[in-house]
Amino acid sequence: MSIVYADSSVLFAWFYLPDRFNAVVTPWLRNRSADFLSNEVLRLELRHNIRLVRGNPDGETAWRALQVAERSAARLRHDHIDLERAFAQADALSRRLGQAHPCGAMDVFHVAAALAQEAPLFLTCDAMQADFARAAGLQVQGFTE
Amino acid sequence: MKTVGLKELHDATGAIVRGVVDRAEEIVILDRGRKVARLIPYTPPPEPSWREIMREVWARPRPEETVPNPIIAERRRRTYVHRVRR
Repeated sequence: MSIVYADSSVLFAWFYLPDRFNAVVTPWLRNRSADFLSNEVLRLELRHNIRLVRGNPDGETAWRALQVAERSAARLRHDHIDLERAFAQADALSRRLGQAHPCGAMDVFHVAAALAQEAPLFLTCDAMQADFARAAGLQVQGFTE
Repeated sequence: MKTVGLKELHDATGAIVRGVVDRAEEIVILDRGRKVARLIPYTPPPEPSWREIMREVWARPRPEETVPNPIIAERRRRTYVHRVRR
């Protein structure tokens, strides 16, 4: 399995056992031994949301696993993308596709970042973002509960 | 083992480092004759597998009660169009 761009909704579900999508995301990813692309925005969203659940044992375990994953260059490959360019590309996608495929600004950013990082596959638990990503030309794997 | 003093290292850093890399050798750095550091070729650290990274997570039982994905929940709260179109 090659590397994939997993939206923060998928990465959170991967690390945090009680998440509603964990039961579908985990077997899918384990079967394919997927590694993940990352960037500054994705890292912030993931760290922030896992920090918020550190008050319980599953959250603490997720945080420790994330720390180890972040030290690995291969499992969680962090690219320093040109944020100004990525946001400009997100804005262009919003202009072109936003009316027909409505979703949030951050959803659009992740699609633009996946294109910039040349992701062969885009994973998301968000149906609206999945529609947008397909319209933008990405190969998409969507997860539903 | 080859050694180099701090002044020599300062004066010829590039050549010394390239020598270490090209000859895959180790150089000991001396400060006034005392061994203080080693210069060795870079080797990437071993990469853990996901099985190793997630060992603790996967050892836990999955709770019967699940919780909503906070990232999707946050997006839905912020996305006005979601409320008016769906």
